[in-house]
Amino acid sequence: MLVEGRLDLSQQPTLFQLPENLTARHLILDDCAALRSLPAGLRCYELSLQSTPLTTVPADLYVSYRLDLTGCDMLVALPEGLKVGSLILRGCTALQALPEGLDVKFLDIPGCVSLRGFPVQGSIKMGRLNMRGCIQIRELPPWLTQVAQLDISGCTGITRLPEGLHVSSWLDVADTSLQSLPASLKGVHLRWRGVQISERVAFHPETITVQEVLDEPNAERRRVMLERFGYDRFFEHVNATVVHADTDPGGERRLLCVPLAGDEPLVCLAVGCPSTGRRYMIRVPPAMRTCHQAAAWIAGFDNPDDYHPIVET
Amino acid sequence: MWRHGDVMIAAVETLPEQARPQAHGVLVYGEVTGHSHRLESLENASVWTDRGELFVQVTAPTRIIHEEHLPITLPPGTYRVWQQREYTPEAIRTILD
Repeated sequence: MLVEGRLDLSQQPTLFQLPENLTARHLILDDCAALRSLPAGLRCYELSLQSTPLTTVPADLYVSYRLDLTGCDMLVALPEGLKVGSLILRGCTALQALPEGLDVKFLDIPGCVSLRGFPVQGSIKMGRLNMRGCIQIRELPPWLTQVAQLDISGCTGITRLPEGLHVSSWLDVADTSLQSLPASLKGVHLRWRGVQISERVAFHPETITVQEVLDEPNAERRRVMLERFGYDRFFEHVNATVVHADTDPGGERRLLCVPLAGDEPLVCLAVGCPSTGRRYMIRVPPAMRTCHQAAAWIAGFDNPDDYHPIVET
Repeated sequence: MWRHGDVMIAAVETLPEQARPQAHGVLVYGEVTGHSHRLESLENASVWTDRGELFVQVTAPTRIIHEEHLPITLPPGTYRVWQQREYTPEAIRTILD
């Protein structure tokens, strides 16, 4: 069967099967909650399967432009040698491995928290690798030598990048364990969750001064510098107003405020962890007036009356 | 309602109709520490997801454990699980523990 143009069957709760040897230019099957497998011989230019309960896709599936499996949280395997222009696996939380021989131009795997690494053989040609929040991946593959955009933010297991890697557009390194870059990446445009920053702010936050933070004219960059400097350290060095104070199972709580020129004030709740005793500083919206209101907001409640935890550990 | 570190747990009436069972018992991985908030055993409890939301179904008392936090025992029931949030002027983020 051949379908020219776009075939949109998204949100069909009873759709569980498609005909064999189907060719469709754009096939949209998002949110088809009963679709547990795809037919043999399926060929598409673009195939979107967001939030379907697929556990794999057939070995003979051919998608030339874009295969989108966002939110397929039951997906556990992909076929060896999978080749597609753009492969999107955002939030495929059960996927533990990418297929051997993977061949793509763009690879999006943010939030694939079970992925442990890359295949031994593979290729990402010239495009983008977005692996934000892949917390179990410890290193990039040696076959990745040239990429335009690389987002490894939130990849807390990554401590180094391979020598010989070139990134032509930008590299986002927020919340990784990197402490320096290989020589091949000297001068790369660094980002911290999308904000352009210097190598010093990224890797030597201990050299940032309070005055430098306060003098930074760009509000976005100042926010990153503040985060790198550390809210707790910052409050030790500036004259903060105590908006409110009380106690909770973690000990003393304080709602602190510092005005920032040309920006909204920095308001943080200083709390202790009931289990470890560690102190934390959590930023909250500037309109907060009490510790309970701030704690409720942090827990996800805009109305503080809705927040009454019975146990906190 | 329970708070287990940066993870919130609240009882709900039922699982959403289209919720899907997960093969693991992990509620949240600690992004910075690599630790996880998880079910101690899958014998009497299971993790479910529905369009980005997380649920736990418990048929007999089951503990939620973590390397650094004291355990919480959940009685039989259905629960929604979510993470605390942190404010930034650009966006609201989940907390990295």
